[in-house]
Parts: sequence; C-alpha cells; structure tokens
Amino acid sequence: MAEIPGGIPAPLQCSSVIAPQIDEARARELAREWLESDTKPFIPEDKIRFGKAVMLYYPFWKYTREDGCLDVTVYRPACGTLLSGLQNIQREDNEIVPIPKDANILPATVQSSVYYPELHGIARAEDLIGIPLWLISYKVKKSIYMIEVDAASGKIYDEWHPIKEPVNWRKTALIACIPLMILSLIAVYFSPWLFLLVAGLLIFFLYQSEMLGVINLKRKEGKDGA
Amino acid sequence: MGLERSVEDQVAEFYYKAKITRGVADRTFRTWFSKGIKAPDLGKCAEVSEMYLLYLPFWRFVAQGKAVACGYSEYTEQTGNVIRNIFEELIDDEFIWTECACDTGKYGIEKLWLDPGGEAPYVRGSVVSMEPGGSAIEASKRGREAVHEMIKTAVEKRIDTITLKKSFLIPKVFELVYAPVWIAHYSYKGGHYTAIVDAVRGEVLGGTSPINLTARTRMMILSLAAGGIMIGSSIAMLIHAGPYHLVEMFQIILLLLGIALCMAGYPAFKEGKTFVATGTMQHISTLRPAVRIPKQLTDQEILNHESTVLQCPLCGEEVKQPWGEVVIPCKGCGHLLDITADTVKIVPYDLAKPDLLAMVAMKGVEPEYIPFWRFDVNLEVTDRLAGGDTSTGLPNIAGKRSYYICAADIPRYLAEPWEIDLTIRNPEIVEVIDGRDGEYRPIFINQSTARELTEFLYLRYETEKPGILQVLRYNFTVENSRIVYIPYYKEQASYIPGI
Repeated sequence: MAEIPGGIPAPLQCSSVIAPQIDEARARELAREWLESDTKPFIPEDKIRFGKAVMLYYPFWKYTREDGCLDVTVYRPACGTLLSGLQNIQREDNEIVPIPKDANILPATVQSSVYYPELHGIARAEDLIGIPLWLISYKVKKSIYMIEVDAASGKIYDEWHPIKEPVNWRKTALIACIPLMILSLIAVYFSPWLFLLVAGLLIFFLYQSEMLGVINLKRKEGKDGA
Repeated sequence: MGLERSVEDQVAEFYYKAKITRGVADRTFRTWFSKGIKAPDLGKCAEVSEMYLLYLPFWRFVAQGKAVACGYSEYTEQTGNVIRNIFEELIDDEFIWTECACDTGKYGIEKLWLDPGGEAPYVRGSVVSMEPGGSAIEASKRGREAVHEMIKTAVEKRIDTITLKKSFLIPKVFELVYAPVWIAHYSYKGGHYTAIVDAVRGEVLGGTSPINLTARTRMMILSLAAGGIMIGSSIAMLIHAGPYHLVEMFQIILLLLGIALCMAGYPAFKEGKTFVATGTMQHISTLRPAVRIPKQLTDQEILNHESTVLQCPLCGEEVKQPWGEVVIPCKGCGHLLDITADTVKIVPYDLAKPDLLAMVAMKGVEPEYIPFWRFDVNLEVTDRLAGGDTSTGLPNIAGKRSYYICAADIPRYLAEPWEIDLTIRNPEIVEVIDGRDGEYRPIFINQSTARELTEFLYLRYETEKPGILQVLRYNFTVENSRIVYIPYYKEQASYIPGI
C-alpha cells in the first residue's frame, strides 16, 4: 500500500460522545413544531414534505479553561463545516458516554492548537468529543431544505428555510392586469379617448413605482470622458 | 510530471494564506448588503450570528495543451458568391482546470477563483478546512477530459469545417489546493441567509440575501399592467378593427407579446424572494463535510499498488523517486530506470562525446549533459495539401529520421529550438562508454509525453512552413526510443551545443 508521507499527524479520534436524548420521531416532531411556530413567518404546514433524517456525530474540541474564578467550557468544531450554529455552540452538562458501535462520526480534521489564539484563561483540559445532530431534509414546492436538531438538547439551529411573504401575489397580479385589459378593450372598441384614462393609469403606476426617476439619473462620467 | 504515479495519498496539497482579517471581511459583507436589489434595510436589520474562516479544497490540473487544426469557414455574399477562408491554427498554451473537491451546497462555488502562485504547502489539521471528497484519480481523469475539451474549443474557434486536427496534452501538475473564505450566517426578519467572501482578495463570492420586496411588487404591477393593455387592445382590434387599419399579423403579435409579458413577469417577481449570488440549493442534503471516497481499485491495480516499493530489476536495489523525476539512474548498477508507471523499466541510453571543435573552443569548461529522448521514427506522408504553398529552403523531415525531445526541466521556449535543430541535423553521436565528468540534468519528461511532443514537433514544423496547411495525412511509427545525454556548454545565460 502507499506509504503515508512523513510529517502528516496521526488521524484524530473522538474519545467519547454526548449521549443522544432524542430519537428520530421526536426530532421530526420538534422540527415540525419549529416550522409551524408563529415566531417566524413560514410556509403553511400542508406544503411541507419531510424526507430523510440522519443522525451524525460532529467532532468538537472541548476546551476547559479556568478564567478568573470561573471554569469555562468552550466547544469548537474539529472538522470543516458549512452548517450554521456550530461555531459558537453552547452546551449544558450533558451525559458523556463511550462511542456507540454503529455511530456515524465525521472524521476530525482540525488540530486543537488551531483554536488556541481565540481562547482565554488557563488550560485545564481538552477533549475531542462527538456531538449528535439530527439532519432532517424537507421539501417545500420544488426546493429542498434541511433542518438541524441537536440530538442531546433538542435545540433547532437556524438554517436556510422558506419564508412566507406578506404579499398576496395572485391578487396583486389580477388587480394590475384585469382593469387595464378591460379599459383598453373598451377604448379600442368604443372610443380612443378612453385611452387617455389607460395612459393616465399607467403613468400613475409608473409614478408609484418610481421608475420615472430612472430617466433623470445622470450617468457618471469617467476620467477619460467615457 | 510524475502524474502517472499519483495515487490517492500522494497528491500534493497547497493552500493560499488568508490575507483578509475578520474586520475587513465584516466591512465587505456590510457593503455588499447595501448593493444591488437587496432589501433596502438589510444593512441595518441583518444580524450576523456567525462569521468564520474556512478553507475550501479544490482539485487543480495544469497541463500544456498543444494542438494543430486546419480547415476552412465559408460564407455567402449578397451576390451569391461563396467565400472560403482557410485557416491554420496552432495552439501551445497552458490550460488550468479546477473543481471544488467538496460540496458547497447553496454557495454554489464550483471553480477556484485564484490563479496559481503564492501558495504554501498544506499541513493537515493546521487550519479549519472542508474535507476533500471523491477520488483523486477520478478527479484527474475529469481534469484531463476538461482540458482536452478546452484545447478543442480553442483550436476550433474560427474553423467551421476541420480538415486536420491533432491535439496533445502534456500534464504538468495535479494537486489539491485549499482556498480561504470568510463565511457569515445572518438573519433578517425571520429568514436565514449566508454570504461568503474570498479571504485572499476580499471580494464577495456568493451567498443568499433577501430581495427588495417593494421593488418586486412594483415591477410585477408594471409588467402585468402593460401586458393587460396589450392583450385588451389586441383583442378589441381583432374583434372590431374600427378606425385602426393595422394588419392582423401585428394584432396577433401584440396579443402574444402581452400574454408573454404577463406569463414571464408573474413568476419572475413572485419567486425571486431571495437573491442567490451563485449556485442553487440542489445539494443542500450534502452540506455536511464530504468524505473521501477512494476509487474502487481492480485486482490488477491492487497488485500493482502493493508493489509501490520500487526495485531495480537488474540489481534489486531499492529505487526512490525524487520529486517530479520520472527516469532516474540506479545507485547500484547505474542503469537508467523508468519509474513513471508502477513498475520499473530499464531505459537504454547513450552519452554523446563533445566534438573536437567544441572541446577546443570551450577548453577548461566542463559541459552540462542534457538528456533528450531520441525516437527513431518512420514517418510516411500519404496526403498533403496546403493553400498558397511556396517552395522554401526548409528541409523535409518526413521519412526515416531521429527525433529529439528535451527531457530535462528546461523552459520549452529554450528547448524547442534545440529539438528542431537536432531533428533536422540528426548529428552523429559519438558514444562515451565509461561516462564523463560533468553535470547530468535529471529527467522530468517521460516516454509517453515525449512521444506526443515528437508528433507535435513534426506538425508544428509543417505548419510553420509558408502557405496555409489544409490536409495532412501520415503514418507515424516509432521504431526505437532511448535517452541521449548531449553535452551543452553554459556560457552566461545561454547554452552552446557540444556536438
């Protein structure tokens, strides 16, 4: 087999994991509750279709520091991740257990020393532990989204999610289109003078949309007069 | 050029150092918030929840693309005359292919935005980076295919009908490069968004942000109002022409335009609630770090990989490959060994003795021995056609002849004139049996690459002749190949051939 070139440190291994307290059904329930909550303007429940749920253990460096008279515990991700909410993760005192046999643990790729410059206090301990997260995918219309549920605490981390907007687009479209269509039909059929009304309405819309302001915009002249 | 021996764990890794600090990145994000068609109060109301530096891995394949294409393009004048322009294209450029080695999901970053240069060797674990996924061997294959396509596009740019096309790819580097980015997750009025900034140049690379709702509503009203007027007027004109003597075709076009405006305006402004700078959300489910999946090796490949410890087939001495070298001398017996593949092959070689004139002229100066691949080629031209051909004093190099390709790490602009000179002259090599003192340049170009360069040397020679080459058909047979060390005397910045 190919030899491992010199200078590459041995792979990092998690020593233990935080015990998951939430099963898949509960995680899905929490996700649904979060999506239906009134605090955020989401898409109605009937349009959400849940997909797969996967529990992954993310490796984290757990630094225990003595800062003044306090013992501070700081968690930092031990692998590169694009998920939100994981950089400044806060934990209660969760139960730490040995690694289960069938656990899906992501490989740790970041040395503990990477985070030293941003830590304070006297170093007391550092461990590499796995934190379980439920990753649940769901679909709204044609878009796929994902929600992260902390499998130990049940906390939901904000990720990209759909938003319901405070505009009734169908009504807006109909109000803009139908009256002008009827007016112009009548104007052509009966009297072209009615077109004045149509033109007036269109100018009103233009004025409201501030599109007329575009005409008055002066172009910036470059140094070379271009 | 040791690409052929690249296996999963032997790909060189480099990274660009971040030059943008957190404060500068934060200011860049804030400036970006106020630009474009984003929500007007985004700068005030956006709450940045996280901002962190992350390195994204990219596969990078650099290759020298060489190609010759001949052909013509035709166009018809208004008078009916068909004008034919004949072309003869020669490409000899460096091509770079990059691909993101991890899934960046909604950020949609697919290619590396930084040019080669200024990288530092990457030490695993020293920075927070995404784990590269997929197989290096597969990525290398994709790179080759992509570069072939780039060469093809470049060479066929002006030619509609191709009559001759030959392209060669000389691999230079295949590596894994880590590029730093600042990632900011922020929330705005209940929505969650992300922006991403290049940590080398300080430019926004992509991300998501809410679009100005008021502007969208107004645009929708305007487009549908205009569409309504067009539909209404055209229907009325179709039913009753009245005083409007417009052709029916115009009325139908107006109707169709109105319908199209309504159909395009409604979904465009309704769905565009989020401005996505690049990419899509298609791969959101794989936002977790990618896992390296080595290529499934066949039994034969496994057998070959297990014999990675290379040994000289004659004396059994263990052979170690210096970086980049493809043919090296055995320390035990002195034979030249080709270690490009996973097996070791003996390469025959000659050592040319400097001629008397050179020795007298450069008395007291030790020559430098530069390795050349010498191919004994039998080249039969079966068909040749060139436009505007004129006879010149350039000799014909078809037929039986030795072709020389420089195998040392010498810039091609220096080596190519030597190759043509040696190929045209075909000098008589006076061999040295016991070796001579002097510096021997290491060999960086393997046999298969040199073989391709040989054919390109011939094609380039033909295209450089006066006239525009259109058709060239030939049989190119390599009968023998070996390394020849040719003495060159170095004088200041130039080399003087010793034969």
